[in-house]
Amino acid sequence: MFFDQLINGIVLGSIYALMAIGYTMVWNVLRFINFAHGEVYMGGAFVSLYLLLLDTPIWLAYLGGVLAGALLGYLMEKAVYMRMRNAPKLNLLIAAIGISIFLQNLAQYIWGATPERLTSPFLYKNIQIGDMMINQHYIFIIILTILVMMVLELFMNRTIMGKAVQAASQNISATQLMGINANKVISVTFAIGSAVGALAGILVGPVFLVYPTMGIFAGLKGFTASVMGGMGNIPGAMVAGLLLGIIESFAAGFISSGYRDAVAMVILLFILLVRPQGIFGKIIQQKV
Amino acid sequence: MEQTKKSYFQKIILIIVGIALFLLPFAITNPYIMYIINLILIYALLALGLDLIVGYTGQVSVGHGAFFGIGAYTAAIVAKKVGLSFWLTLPFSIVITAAIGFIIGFIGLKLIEEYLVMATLAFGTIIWLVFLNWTDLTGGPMGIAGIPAPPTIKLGGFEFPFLQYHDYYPLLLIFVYLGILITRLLIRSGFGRACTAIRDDELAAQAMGIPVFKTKVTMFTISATFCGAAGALYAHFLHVVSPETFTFSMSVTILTMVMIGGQGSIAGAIIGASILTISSEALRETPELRMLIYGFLIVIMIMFFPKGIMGLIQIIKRRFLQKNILIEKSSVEKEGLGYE
Repeated sequence: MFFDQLINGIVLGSIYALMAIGYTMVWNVLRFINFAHGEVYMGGAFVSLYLLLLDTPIWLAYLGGVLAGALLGYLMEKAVYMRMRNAPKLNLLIAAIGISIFLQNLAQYIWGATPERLTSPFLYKNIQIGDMMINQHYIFIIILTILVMMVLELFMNRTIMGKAVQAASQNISATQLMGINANKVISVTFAIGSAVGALAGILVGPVFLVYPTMGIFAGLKGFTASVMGGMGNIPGAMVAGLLLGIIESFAAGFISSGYRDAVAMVILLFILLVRPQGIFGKIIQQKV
Repeated sequence: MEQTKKSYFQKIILIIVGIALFLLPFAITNPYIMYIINLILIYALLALGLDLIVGYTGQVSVGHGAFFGIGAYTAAIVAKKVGLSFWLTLPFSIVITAAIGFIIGFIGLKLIEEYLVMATLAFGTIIWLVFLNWTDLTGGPMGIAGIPAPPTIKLGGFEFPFLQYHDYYPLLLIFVYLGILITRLLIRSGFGRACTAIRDDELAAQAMGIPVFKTKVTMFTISATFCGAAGALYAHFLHVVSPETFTFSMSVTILTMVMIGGQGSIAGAIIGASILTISSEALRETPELRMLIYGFLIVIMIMFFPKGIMGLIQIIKRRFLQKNILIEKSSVEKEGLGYE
């Protein structure tokens, strides 16, 4: 029981951590919370599902979903956010809410509201460790999450583009003065954050099913993780995501499953009240 | 903003129209149309409330549907379990939404403005789950039915019972007028000007000595009470409350009303409420198409007409009257790309 909940928590936490990365990366370069990030998660899962219906091999369908997620994030930025660079932050936020609602209902219009299960090569197989059975897909999620984080870490620190993203996170105007194409950096940030978010949605698909509003809670929880980790702090987001998943899993297991989703919300409100800069965050200073 | 002084002539016309609106039920015989007009009035009150915080203070909330729900459920529970009449359940709804609004504002307005969106979204979700799961108090998915109508009003020798939709209309209209009056008084006061200053530039407002956090929380609380009052009216008007009314979509619908009509404008809130209520009745059969259109409209409006229909009217007026030859720049061009 205890270990089952722990494994569930780690799996959930991996998903939240992946989601949190998207929020945090975009926050870093634009100082803006992409409210529509949950819809990328949903979109990626739906595209994978659709590709599987067309008898695409599973790995290709997964990859297609991730790429579709990246494209969705990229288009979102190009079509709306980029045109609003000089608008007040409030307007940007409202636009993001609009995009989120639009995409949710577009998905519902195209694919319907019935939850469907993504297939996974590992779903119905278990691994036995001691006297405990662990679903292989869970292991797959955990391994893939670790892999993605390692790749992301390498990208951020070892490539020119990654360094440009880091520079833009510190000061985007100065980045431009150094001859870096800021718009390109922002696009790359959106694409990567969204690809990771879409991957989270695809990985969840076989366990928690795919439906148009799946992104709302996942988005909120990913956001909660990014706040917990300190907005803009990528390693912090990863750790906080795991922590959140484990807390939620135990709370749902031991308190009540009807209020399962409320647990993360209460944690979010609590963190915003007590430590809005996050567990690992510094005090955010407003820039003039 | 559009603080243009209205002439006496315009004021008199407004008052005449305002009084004439009370006669509307005599012109309409179809109860369904009356029902929709009543709904518009309730939504107008909600939109006015949300506009206080979005339009005048510049803070986005996607949890006002939950405040609406809390108001409605409070009225329903107090009316059914305690047996109080509308005039006593209304203060209950107002006090409770004010208290909860204060708490949520206090939590969400602390650090950056985006946090309020997430805090209100989280709050709205929690409240919805409570409506759904706390079966003893809220009736669970079934909701609460049989909420009594307000008691008959005796005025002089006349009696005004609440039997059909036509009877509710004057009561709702009075509440909308009250809402408009309070909004006007608020935004013309020093407190209201402080809110507008915060909306326009928070740091500058702070530098001028405005207690930013306190002002925002106060306005958020007032804004929540509007929705609480609207909730109580809704509960006694429809006689039934159920959780599916007070979802995230409700909060978004109210926000769309404010955005379409024009944020920071009383007329805008009312226009937005009218348009959206009528269109949602027309699109009743295909709710997902309705929300699809709302989402699209929000994006288009905020990108191209951030001041909504009222903003458009202003532009047309200005062009037409040639009062201002200077073309108003939508945003001052900033140095560089203006990222910060």
